[in-house]
Amino acid sequence: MKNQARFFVTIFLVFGFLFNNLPSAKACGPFTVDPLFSFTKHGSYPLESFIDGKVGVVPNSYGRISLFVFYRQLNKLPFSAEEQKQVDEAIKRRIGIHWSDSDPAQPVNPANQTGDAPDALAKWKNARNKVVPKSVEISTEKSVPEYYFYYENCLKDSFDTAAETLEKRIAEFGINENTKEWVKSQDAVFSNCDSGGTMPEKPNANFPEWLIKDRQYQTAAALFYASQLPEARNDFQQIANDNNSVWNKTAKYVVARTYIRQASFIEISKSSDESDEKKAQNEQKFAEKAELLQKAEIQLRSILNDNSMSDFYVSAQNLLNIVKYRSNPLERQRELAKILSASSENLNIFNDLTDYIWLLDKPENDARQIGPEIDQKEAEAAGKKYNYDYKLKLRDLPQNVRENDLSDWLYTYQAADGFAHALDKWQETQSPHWFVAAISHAEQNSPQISELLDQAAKIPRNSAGFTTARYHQIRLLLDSGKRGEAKKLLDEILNTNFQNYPISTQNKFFAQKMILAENPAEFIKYAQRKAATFVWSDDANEEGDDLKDNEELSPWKNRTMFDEDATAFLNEKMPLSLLREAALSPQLPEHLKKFLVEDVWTRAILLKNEKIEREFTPLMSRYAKDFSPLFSKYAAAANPADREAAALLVILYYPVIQPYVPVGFGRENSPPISIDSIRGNWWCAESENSNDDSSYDHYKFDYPKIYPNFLTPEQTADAVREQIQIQKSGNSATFLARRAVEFATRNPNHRQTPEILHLAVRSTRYGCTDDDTEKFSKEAFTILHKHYPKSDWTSKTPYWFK
Amino acid sequence: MPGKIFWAWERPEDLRFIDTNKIGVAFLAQTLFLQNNEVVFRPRRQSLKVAPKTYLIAVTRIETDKQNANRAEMSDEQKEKVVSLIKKTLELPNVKAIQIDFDALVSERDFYRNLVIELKNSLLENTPLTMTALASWCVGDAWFADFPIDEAVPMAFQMGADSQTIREFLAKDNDWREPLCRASYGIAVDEPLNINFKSNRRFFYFKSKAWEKSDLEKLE
Repeated sequence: MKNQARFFVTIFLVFGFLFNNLPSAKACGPFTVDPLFSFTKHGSYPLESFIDGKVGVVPNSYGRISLFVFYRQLNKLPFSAEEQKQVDEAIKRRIGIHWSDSDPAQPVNPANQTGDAPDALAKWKNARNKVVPKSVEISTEKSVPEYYFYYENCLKDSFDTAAETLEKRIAEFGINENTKEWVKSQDAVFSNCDSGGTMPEKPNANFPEWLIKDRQYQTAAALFYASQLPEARNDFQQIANDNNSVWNKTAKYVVARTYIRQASFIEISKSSDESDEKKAQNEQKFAEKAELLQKAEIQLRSILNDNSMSDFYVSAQNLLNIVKYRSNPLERQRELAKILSASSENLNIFNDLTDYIWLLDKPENDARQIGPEIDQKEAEAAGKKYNYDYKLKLRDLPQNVRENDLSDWLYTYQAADGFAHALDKWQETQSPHWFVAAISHAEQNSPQISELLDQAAKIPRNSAGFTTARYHQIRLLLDSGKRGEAKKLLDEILNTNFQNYPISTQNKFFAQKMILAENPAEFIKYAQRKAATFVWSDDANEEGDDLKDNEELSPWKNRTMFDEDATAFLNEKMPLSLLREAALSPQLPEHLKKFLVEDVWTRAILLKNEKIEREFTPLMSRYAKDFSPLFSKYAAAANPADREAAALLVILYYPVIQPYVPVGFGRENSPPISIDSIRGNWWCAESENSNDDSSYDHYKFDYPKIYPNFLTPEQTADAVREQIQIQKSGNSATFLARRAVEFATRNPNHRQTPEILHLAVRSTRYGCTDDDTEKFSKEAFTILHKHYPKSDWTSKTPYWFK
Repeated sequence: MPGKIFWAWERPEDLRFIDTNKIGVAFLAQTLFLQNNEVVFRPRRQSLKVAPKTYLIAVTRIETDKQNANRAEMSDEQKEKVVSLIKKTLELPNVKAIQIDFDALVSERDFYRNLVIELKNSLLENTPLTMTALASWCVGDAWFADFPIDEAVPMAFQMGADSQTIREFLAKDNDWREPLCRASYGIAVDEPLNINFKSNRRFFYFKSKAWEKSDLEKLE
């Protein structure tokens, strides 16, 4: 039923109200808005609370920055206020709330996001304009057309420094020929930001000394931007040795940059199928690169050890970090893991954490290249269908990337095969973070399960791992059928400051409590959840930031809805008799009652339960006001044929109708008579036990492992029988076309038969199809054209559909 | 246009090994980021090495800022800037065709349509203009059926939540419902799509790592 859930949240709903653009809102598969009941990719919103320690239940699927936060909490390493801000920024950039185009290992000050090159360029142009009013075009990017790419050549600092220097020169010497000469030379420097620049002219002997010294620096800078790096380095080195130049310290620092930039221009092929000659060339290039980076490191360390260079310490340290990142990523990963695991405040935590996570990404990306193939072979060897859903495995990571505790824990917590290692580490260290990793991966038949459950019971409530451990303890008890023990633990959770948990975590516990429901009323109570947030359906990062202030969604923020686990039970395990009771339950808010009423009425038609069908007809008119005109005809039908025609027409005209309860807010705000272009029309008769994959419209649904057990054997038997009957009636397209054909055969002279046949054929285009659809679509089409050739409905039906 | 095209995305690529008579290259030339009333130009950052005779398609990816405060205005000014920047990719050496990669939201489709019309009108008549299309678009309705393009390349890979359903849809020998999608298949070499491909279709190949000579064997 996932398809119903998904399709109910159609673009009509989303774009209709988000952009007030309904007429053009015709299509699209993935771009819908869905409620998200529990976060799976990152810490729950608000992130500030998550980082401050309200972590709730932390699933294995969280991203590594969120897991890093959890690791710190588990090890009693809270963040300072400044660190919290920086970690918050790191998560937001990671999941896309804040956009960043920066390369890895480029130091960023998250508190100063306005400091990009365009702003600095404007600053330079303003300063320049005071001396030379004529504007000049400057590109910050250098194009390399023969290789189809650009690189950012002139960075923010270069324009800042130029602007500040010019302002100083104007203040000291005024606007005159010398300052004009200075600007002319600087224009030459920046002409090298793109290809085809010119060099500053050699200084005249009669220039004042300051202009000569500046000119020497400008010439070196021009060489630098022209990518003549050994020459630039030579010039900068001379300036560094010149104690009479005001640029000598800056030049010493830029010498290091010349090495780094030169190293970055050496391209090493990563191809695994190179010839021996190319491999030798690569080795040569690798050695050259390493040598340049080593020289940069030596230069930077000499700056850091030079008391006179203290103004450059921060910049030099940042550059040194880049050098380490590039020259020895594994070593840098270990170093960063140590820094990030330290208790002392780290005011550079944003950069350190960002670099660290990038360094962890690389081995995972490599694992994702080899892992799926191994999985596929294993699946084929076991005679199973491979599902293309690779999950990171320790099996696919090199051992050396996990040689420190933090990296090992992060990978293990996420890895699908992380249990055995987590268990070993817990037994070895007895530390809480390894315990939580172990129990989060444990299954009811896992080794040492009783020890894990015993330990879970001992975790104090004030431990950061308490909530996650208790959640998994209850999960394991439920899986092994120990419902009484699970219920006791769960009731403790629900009765002790439960509202303090993030909604995301509350929903996870509600899901467990729903399984323990002892009667329909309890089930209905705990089946209802509030959204933790709303996200675009194609948003793999669960970001949804642009939806948080959306006024049209705001009513749904406080409304309860059904998640997949609840709809799975309602739609496949409950018999019509209980669904009827649920639909009439005073516990249900009106917006959910509407879903149940539509479900029960349609299901009654499918199951030919005339009593309930008639009972719910007035309710359909009440809860689905758009249906009223046709329901009036239905209610006023004088004979069975009229009533059947009216019922068929109601369904055929209203593609929102289905014998299922939707996940989330359904097609609540969409025009109910509109055909949904992503085919959220009527229903697919899919079930947990169905292997039918004959239609695009089928959507694989993650069914719960266990369900509530309050149904009597008779109720369960009824539900099974009804499910079989619904399955037998086929997907909506087949059901409607077949019923139309049956109706037409029995009632060839009924005035609405051509209309029913036309609409039935249409439903085979837009509804959920199966292997039998084609047959009935063609049959309905044939009857229509053969027996009613002059009908308007026939002329509107040029095709039948597969 | 060759029957096989390699997509070269944002990573260093050395494709000098391909047979230029049989295989072309569609490379990400630039990303245009629409924000407020601005078009932020993000050029390709990684080198692409190709043999001189390679048939080249310059791909422009368009992204839009969806933050409420910076939401792209989709103005005529932005449209003109985008058209101009896309046309400029034809100035790159040996580029013979243009492709647009824009996962347009419903609210962005009028802008997209007008952009494509204006671009097409400004190109020489024989300049091929193509677009990428999410696989779900190609099985959906015909929202881009009136685009003046030569073909829409259905990207039958990395399909997210739709992956299984679309795979099964195609495995049942169904064809893309949208006619513009019926000229080609966009597939990933590292994500097998076990279907019977329709004949006479062009193949665009995607790889999530840099291309290697040994990949040629996988295409056979």
